[in-house]
Amino acid sequence: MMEFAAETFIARCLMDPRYLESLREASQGTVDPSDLERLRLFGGFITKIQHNDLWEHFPTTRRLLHDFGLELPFFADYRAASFAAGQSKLEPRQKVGAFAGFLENQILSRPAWRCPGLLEVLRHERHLWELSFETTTERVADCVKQLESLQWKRFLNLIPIFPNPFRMAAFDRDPTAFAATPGNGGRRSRRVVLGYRKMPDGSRRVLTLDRISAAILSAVNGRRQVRTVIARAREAGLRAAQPRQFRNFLEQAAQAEIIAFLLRLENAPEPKR
Amino acid sequence: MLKAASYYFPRSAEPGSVGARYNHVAIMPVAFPQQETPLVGLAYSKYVPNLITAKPDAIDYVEIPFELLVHDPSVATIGEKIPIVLHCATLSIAGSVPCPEARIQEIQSWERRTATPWLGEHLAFITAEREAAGDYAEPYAPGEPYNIGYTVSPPMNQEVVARVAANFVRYSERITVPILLENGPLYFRIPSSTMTQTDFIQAICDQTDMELLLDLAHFHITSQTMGFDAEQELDKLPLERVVEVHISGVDEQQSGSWDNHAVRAPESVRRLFDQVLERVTPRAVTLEYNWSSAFPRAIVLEELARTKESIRNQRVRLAPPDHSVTALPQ
Repeated sequence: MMEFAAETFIARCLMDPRYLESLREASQGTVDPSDLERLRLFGGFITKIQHNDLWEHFPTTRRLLHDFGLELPFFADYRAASFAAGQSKLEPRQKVGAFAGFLENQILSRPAWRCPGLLEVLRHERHLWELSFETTTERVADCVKQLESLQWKRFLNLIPIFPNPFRMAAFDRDPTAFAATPGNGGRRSRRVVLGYRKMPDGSRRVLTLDRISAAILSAVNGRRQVRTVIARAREAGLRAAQPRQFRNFLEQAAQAEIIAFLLRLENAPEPKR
Repeated sequence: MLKAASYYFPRSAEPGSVGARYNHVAIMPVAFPQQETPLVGLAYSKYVPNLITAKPDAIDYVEIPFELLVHDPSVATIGEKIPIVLHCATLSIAGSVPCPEARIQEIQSWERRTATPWLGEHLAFITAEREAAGDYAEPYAPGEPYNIGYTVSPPMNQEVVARVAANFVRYSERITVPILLENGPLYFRIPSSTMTQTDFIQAICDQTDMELLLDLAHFHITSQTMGFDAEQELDKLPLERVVEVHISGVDEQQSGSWDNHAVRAPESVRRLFDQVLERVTPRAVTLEYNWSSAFPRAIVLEELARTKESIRNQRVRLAPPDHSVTALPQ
């Protein structure tokens, strides 16, 4: 028997997911269990609409969630979790971060959610989104300009930095293939390392990095000298590479403004986490 | 030719708010034109201003939610280029909790500022009484009603018919322009309902002079959930009351149909639209493709063209026969 007005009952089910869950577990009352499940999904639907701004930042993640039939169940779960955590009034940036964090946990903790490409695409789009908030290093003006004339010994003492926000991530499947090909076209794509770069004008670029580029760039942390970067890259598998090859790569990376060089450590900014 | 309706100087807003920047901006809204054929518009999304700039003749008006204008009054400046139709999800007209007076006054303000020809509101509730809800584990807003933050179709019974009729009359006395009520989608069987949604709408129309905003995607979704033939049921609606039509997409998920303003309308919705045009001539047809700011412009333009073509085809069918005949020889 429903003890209060139907509107209040529906409102409580939507605003108090634990109450709805208790009704579903009890499987009693005047409301059909299938309608209770639909009510739960309707709550997810409302939450989904309240996250329409995610289309802008996570378009492929959302498309995959939809294509795998996870969209409404996910947002229904997320609604319950965010209510329980008191997250009803988050700032837009917090809201996006909370969504991405919750979805990643769901994918990692529930085998049924391990759909091809979903985790990779989520992480990829999260990197791009987070990159948009990162700011440029202030010490770019102190950077060494004439690299070609520099002796090898002095070159080894330089400190490579990323003058503009840059990050790298390795994926079991190439997330950009999913973005480029609707219909889960990236399922068969291979392991890949991507570099995320924020340009001075604020735009973002994604670079596909080969093994050598990834090994060298991943050793750059804004405090290490070139000699340490090379040593680390050798430890990472580039034992046979010649010094000239390292220097060529680093000079080319500087020419492309992916990295810049400081003369002294005191000029180096704190490394980004 | 479109004419400017009036100058309006917005009321003061809190210092530093988005609205404050527009305190001293004279908004000169373009009036909604009188026309025999339905006008075609778009629900506001971030892409709409650029579309209007690139294709000034693509749409006749833009539909804007009142709630968006409260959040960002600068959106209203688009009304200097193109007529605005005001949409609303605030009155909770089917609910038992009255809309706060301050909100009604804000709606009145935006009604004047936008020169909207009517106010589209949902036949739904948004708030509900909390007192009788039993033990509540999380009193995050003690003493306040539940605020769902989204429109929900109400129980369909005589008690709610009477409530909607009373609220409609009460709010119509406060709002100068006509209030159109929009049919909501049913995603589950609403408890305490004793009639179909069509009968529910008809019963309200019998008690009031309410006019309708017919959302065809909602109607399609309701038909799927409740298991009726949408095309047959459509004829049972008081279509002569329809002033505005909404067209949008539908999503099939979890064995159900769901509203989706991020995809184009399915053929089923298009067939319903043609059927409506065979029966009546609404004043406005709004395409609601406003959930994704990245909605492809090419699809928007295709959908607009298709909508206009449907209207044109219907007018050709309804055109009076040509009675001019060559005079017979004496």
